[in-house]
Amino acid sequence: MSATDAQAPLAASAAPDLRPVWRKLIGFNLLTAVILGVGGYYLGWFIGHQISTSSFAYEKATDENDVALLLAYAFGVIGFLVGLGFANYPVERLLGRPASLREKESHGISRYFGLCTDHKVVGVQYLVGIGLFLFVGAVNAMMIRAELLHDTPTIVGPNQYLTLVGVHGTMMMGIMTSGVLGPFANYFVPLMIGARRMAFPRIEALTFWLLMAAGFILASTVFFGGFPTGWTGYEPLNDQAVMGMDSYIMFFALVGISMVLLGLNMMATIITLRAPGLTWSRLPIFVWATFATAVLMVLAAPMLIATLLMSALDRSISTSFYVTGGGGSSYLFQNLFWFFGHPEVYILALPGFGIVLELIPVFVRKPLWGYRLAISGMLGVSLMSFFVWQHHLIVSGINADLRPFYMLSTEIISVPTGFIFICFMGTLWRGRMSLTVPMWFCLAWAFNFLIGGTSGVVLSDDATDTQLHGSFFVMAHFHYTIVGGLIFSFFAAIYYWVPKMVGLQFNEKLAKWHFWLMFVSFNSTFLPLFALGIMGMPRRVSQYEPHLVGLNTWVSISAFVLGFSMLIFLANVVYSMIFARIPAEANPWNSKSLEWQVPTPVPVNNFEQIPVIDADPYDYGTPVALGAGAAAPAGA
Amino acid sequence: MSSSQAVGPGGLGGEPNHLRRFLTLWIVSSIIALPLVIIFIGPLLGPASGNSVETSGEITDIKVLVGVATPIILLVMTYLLYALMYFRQEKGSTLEGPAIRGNAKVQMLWIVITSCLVLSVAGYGTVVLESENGDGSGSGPNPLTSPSGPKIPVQVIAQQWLFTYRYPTYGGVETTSLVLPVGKEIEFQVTSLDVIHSFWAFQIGVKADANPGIDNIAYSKPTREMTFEVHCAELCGIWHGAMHNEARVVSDAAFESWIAKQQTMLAPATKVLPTYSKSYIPEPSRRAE
Amino acid sequence: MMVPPVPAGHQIPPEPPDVAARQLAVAARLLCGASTFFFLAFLFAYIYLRSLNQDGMWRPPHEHPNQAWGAVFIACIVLSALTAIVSGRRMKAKSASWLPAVIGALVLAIVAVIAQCIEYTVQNFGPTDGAYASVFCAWSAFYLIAILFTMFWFETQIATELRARRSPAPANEGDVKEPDRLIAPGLDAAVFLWTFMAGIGIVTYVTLYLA
Repeated sequence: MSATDAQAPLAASAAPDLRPVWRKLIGFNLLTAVILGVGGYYLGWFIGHQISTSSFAYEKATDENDVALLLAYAFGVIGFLVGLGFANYPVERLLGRPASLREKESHGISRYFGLCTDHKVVGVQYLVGIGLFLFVGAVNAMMIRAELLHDTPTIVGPNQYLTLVGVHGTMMMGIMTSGVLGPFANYFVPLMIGARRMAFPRIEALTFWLLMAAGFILASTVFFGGFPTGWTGYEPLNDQAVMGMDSYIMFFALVGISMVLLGLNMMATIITLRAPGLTWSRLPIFVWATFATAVLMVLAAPMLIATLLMSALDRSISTSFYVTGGGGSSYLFQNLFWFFGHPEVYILALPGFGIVLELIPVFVRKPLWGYRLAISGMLGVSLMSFFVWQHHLIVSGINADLRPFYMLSTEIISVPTGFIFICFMGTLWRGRMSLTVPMWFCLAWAFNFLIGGTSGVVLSDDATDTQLHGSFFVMAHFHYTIVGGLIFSFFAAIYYWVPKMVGLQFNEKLAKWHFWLMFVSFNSTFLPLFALGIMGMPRRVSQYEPHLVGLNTWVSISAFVLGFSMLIFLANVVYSMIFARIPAEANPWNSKSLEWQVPTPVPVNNFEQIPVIDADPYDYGTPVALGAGAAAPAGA
Repeated sequence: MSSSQAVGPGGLGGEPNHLRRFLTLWIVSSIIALPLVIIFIGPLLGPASGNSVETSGEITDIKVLVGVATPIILLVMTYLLYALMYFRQEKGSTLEGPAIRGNAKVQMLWIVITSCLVLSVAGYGTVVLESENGDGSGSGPNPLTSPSGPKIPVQVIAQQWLFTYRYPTYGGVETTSLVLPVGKEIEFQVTSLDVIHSFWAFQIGVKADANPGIDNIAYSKPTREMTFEVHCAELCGIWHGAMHNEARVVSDAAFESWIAKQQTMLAPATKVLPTYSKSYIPEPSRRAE
Repeated sequence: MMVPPVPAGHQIPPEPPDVAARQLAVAARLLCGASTFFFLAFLFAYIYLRSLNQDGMWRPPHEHPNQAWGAVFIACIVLSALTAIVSGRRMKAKSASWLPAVIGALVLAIVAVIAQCIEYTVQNFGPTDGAYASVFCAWSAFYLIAILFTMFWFETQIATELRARRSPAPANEGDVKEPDRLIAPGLDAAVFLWTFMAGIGIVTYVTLYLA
């Protein structure tokens, strides 16, 4: 490897870039992307109007031109991507020019604002982009809870309220599907497997920019009247809705494409780019979790894309997939959506499993307990997630013969999920736990996901579901698993890995304040929701029974405290990254995993020499004598 | 790494038997907590009996599941607490824990116990679902099991944003208020005129989605005279939150007199209503052009 | 700086060519999986809506696709796939005749697309004419898009080969110097994908035209 490294730089282009600023702005960059995106938007709008004013008279009459908006979004996204430079490679290949792996990357901070094929840059881009859209979703949540302080609509009207609910849910679900894989898997999977790059670096960059375009499109729904369906987009309400619904459809279509490509890239990387000696049984558990998630992304997301394309067709050219009047069926949407939707929530949960099982061995100085059991748990969850989707349809009037089967399959999926817990507990057993901030978040994950998962088992029972479906009990269940599980593990990953990514330390005191305030306020916010559900409060309402005001007030105030804890985190980011700027060591946690064996900041080609692997990264702990009775042989 | 035993908090005298300690802690806390949960949290989950056959079945089911979940939740939570207390790194120390990678016996035990637990819970749930206790859920036009004996059909017609109730065996009169006789088996036939709604009367144990063009059947046998809430449980547009009404369970006699009054009062309206049918769909119309 | 800037003109040291081959093979198989689930949604819609036959509006009796053009469509798809397989075999045997074969496959696929487009103009229903019509038009249209994407891949390989035959590629560091070394794994992967897509095409044809 070092021989080819030596011939790397070309002397001619090593000179500094002395062109004037305005000259540097011309080219394939974010500015061009925005300009072409806006241009594409208006082009699509114009074409859409030409098509529909000649064929669809009702659109002229109602001023609801879905064809125009969908085309406008589509052309806008294409223009945006062309402007960034994503069309260069396909056009070059179309003309038969040889392939090249990497774009000529510019210097300095401008790399982060354009197409960059360095997986580390993409990881940091994802982190910031995801943070931005999470913030949007969180602000929506605060407004929802402000509205729910009163039992009648007071602050916003019902349409705006439903848009708040819809944007909150859709934004969070869509963005967090790539929430862990985007920043952390992109940055660290090549490092963990001893590779210099991802399998398809340009596609990796594409997934990021697709997600950014998607988030922006979803936020633009407010200019078109919002959408009333919540994140599930149920037909026929979907069909009835005004133009803002198309923003939702376009968002999820783009997110779906981004998911497929991200999953494909992850799987190809893990399968083909492992360092010599890195057999499957030596792979870090986080990489296994990424793999299990990627399988779901590649297979489930296309279903979503197809489902929403049918929705878009129903809305724009009046096909009859989901509309009963023309032979369609509302059940079709529910079935198709949840066939994607259930694997989707495991796409959210699995990376969380990977993070906590990856981190706790480092902080208890013991190997991961039950490595193979954990892998079978993750793969078991992955496989089974395709067989449970009709538990979302239990009271909807589906064929009653099917319901006991789906109850059984849903209950059974808790068994592989339980494997993760026993491996978590086994790793802690007789360990030497250091209570760092990432460790606290991992412990909180266990607490929260336990409650979330158990409430899921309660919901899976058909008879109890009759009481609890569509109520705040379900809200509590999925917020415990997604926020309590995924988001807590997401913060564990941030405090653990971001010092490596940016080379700067977080302030520990602010971090501890963040954790404790977040943990207490999170539980205070979502635990009462179980009670609200049992007491008969439906989801997605801004009007409710007056006797529930007290509990809702408590929940809202706790939610504001939860939001405040996020501000503490933001303060930590600003303080640590902009003011204090204390450099981070190369391996502050004393981890034996491969990504910590490279210097901070990580050099551009990751490794001087590709390492040869001879063991898994869990080589902690003092060996226990076989006669002492407690240990199983390594690799069990 | 030359020592053959991990040095634990027991010092050189050998480690305390963590397993025994922890199991004792867990079993004791479960024995204390379970009755507390049953006695104090149980009633909060809903009245076990007294409202309807279905409610009692569903609420008992919830209580059983919560009861089964309690020791499991305690297992993990007491373990986390135990670990926080006893499996700690002393300040400044860099000792490592024992290099234990697994324990085949523990893993097998966990797999077997969790699988058996889950299968029994699923079995119990199936029994409840297919018994009279579980038929409050919308089961589509052909429920697997239905209560024997005479049933009073009540059609629930959902539309944006109102429930109306049609009594086919009482002349097909359609009212905006729901009144039911106590002690009789009611067969709800839930359908929608536009988008998906859901007829949710949790106090009598019924939830059935209303889909356009579909007849979704759910049963309830109220056992107590009371007032109960009906909410729409599926997002149906901007006034979804306002789509609720009060309903009543009254004595037989009161019901008969009420329905007779409705029939006389609403006779002109009943004459112009479409004939009773399992679902009502507007004529297929071309929405484009 | 978070990540040190790449020295100008710097490229990643190239890996052995079999890595690229494996990556393309993996990508092709994953795309097959993704496409399967995409079209599965339409198959499910077909089966589900047909069995529900909501209000008898599944398929008004006069609605029939044009069988003649449909047969042309599927025949071209199948022939194109077979030709592609032949091309792949010839590439493996290092015979130069792989190029006309793959060009033939491309042309046949384009003819298939044109045949289906003509069928759209002569069939007696449109996408607004009920559930079957909706499924037919949407499924076949998205399948045409899938064909075009796959053909794009073939086109890049044909173009690379033609350009290489005209003028050998300059040694751009980090690029594979011999086009055949790059095309061979790419062609193999593309043939796999196209064969699979032809299989999806057969399912499409049988469901929409014959069932």
